[in-house]
Amino acid sequence: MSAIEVAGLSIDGPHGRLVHGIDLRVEAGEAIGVVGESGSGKSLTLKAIIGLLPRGVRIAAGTVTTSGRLGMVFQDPLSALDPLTTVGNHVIEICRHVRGMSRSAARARAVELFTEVGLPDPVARLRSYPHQLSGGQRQRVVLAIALAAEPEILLCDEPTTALDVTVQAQVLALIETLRRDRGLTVVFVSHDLAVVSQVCSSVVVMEAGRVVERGSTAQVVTAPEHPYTRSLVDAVLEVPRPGEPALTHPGDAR
Amino acid sequence: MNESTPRLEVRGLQVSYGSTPVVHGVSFAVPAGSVVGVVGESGSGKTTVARVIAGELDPTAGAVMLDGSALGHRTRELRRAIQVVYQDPFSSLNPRMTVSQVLSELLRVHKMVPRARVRDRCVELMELVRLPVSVLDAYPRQLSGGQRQRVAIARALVLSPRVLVADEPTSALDVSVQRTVLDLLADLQRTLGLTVVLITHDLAVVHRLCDRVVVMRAGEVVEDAPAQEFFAGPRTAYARDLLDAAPRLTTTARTGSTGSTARTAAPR
Repeated sequence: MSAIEVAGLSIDGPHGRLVHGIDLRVEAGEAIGVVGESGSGKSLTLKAIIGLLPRGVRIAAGTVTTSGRLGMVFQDPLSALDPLTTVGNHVIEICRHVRGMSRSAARARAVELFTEVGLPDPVARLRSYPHQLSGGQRQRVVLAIALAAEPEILLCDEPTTALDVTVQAQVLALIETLRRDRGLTVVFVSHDLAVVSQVCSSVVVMEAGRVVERGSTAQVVTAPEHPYTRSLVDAVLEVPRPGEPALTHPGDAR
Repeated sequence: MNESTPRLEVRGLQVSYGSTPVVHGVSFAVPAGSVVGVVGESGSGKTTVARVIAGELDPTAGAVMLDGSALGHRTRELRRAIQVVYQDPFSSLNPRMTVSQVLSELLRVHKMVPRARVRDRCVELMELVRLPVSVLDAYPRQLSGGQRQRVAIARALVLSPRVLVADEPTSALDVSVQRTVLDLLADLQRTLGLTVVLITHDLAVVHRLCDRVVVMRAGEVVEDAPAQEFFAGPRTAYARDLLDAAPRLTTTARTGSTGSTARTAAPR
């Protein structure tokens, strides 16, 4: 059985249809990317999977089946965290209420999770408030919170868009490590095909509420079939790697 | 003016917010007609430097030189000479004014063209930034992010500035829209011979547009090199890390190795 199975999913908003009958199947342990621009329906699809559609937006047709506990990582860690609660308590509460742990066991688990997501000085971090952390540290906390419920499926909605590139690279590497070590199933939504190509083995391209192309990342990136996908591939600007043959002068490229 | 005098020069710039120093002696030069990219992560001080150049913030020490003379009090002429395109075009455009009103007001106040020519000039500006003339009668909320940023570029160009400061001009846009706005900036820069200071965290943007790269970290310049040299191999470890972390199209999802880039893996 697949970890996620979406069949004929249509989503309606107050002013009409937003997502038009899409199908999506994600196997356990797989990382799949959903790429598209603002308004393509990629985030709504993700929210429909976890059941967090905004008010006034509803599933009009189709089914969503998931097997396994879900966790979600949001784009903006500052608005995903309660500013008046320490980051430690965010994790401890979930361990206690979702996992039924005792207070001390939950605290110990929080330290383990902070260690796992690579927060420096995890014991001291428990007492930090969100505003005291950097953007990258906050996103690690959000990951730790998502992991506290011991999910089998991790849904990521533009989790690195708000981060600096070096921090982005670290968070992407962390998500990949978690997928490998915990066997997590990952659905990664982003407008940036380059970012998706670094964590996902297959890609679904959405435009205006429809899936226009799907396939392995290698195939979609090197031989896009749909014109829209081609425009997304072309939109990724090249950054040379030092040591590679010199490229044409910027501006002459293609 | 000596021919080798840079159009814009930043000399020993120091800036503090309250008692916290954030920029510690930054210097770089921008020759006329060139694009210099100031790159750094959050907190590097790059936007602070941009704000000083734009005259929005006074440095505690150091100077900004325009064509060889230090900028002190900004006269109307000097404010016209340096124009800024901001990251978020929605908050930098007045929501109650149509595009035509924004542009005409500037044209009239700064007496850029005779009154009778104002409308014609607005139409020319729309053509310059490749927007349909109908956009002139639209309010910012009726425009897409990419269209708004084109309007912001038109507004900056209205006054024929000597220096254009672009502060993360494409960071708030979708990748595909980013590309078209960058292409527009590159074309305008070439055809109009603009001098541009481009503030960004994105090395892909620098590679597309810039002749020179200034890397900032924690309020200091750590590297300043011609773009070609920089991308061939940065000298500092920090700049190498930045270059390494830039997201690239990969055909193999991260599996411990770095993976090959799409274009080298594509069939030849």
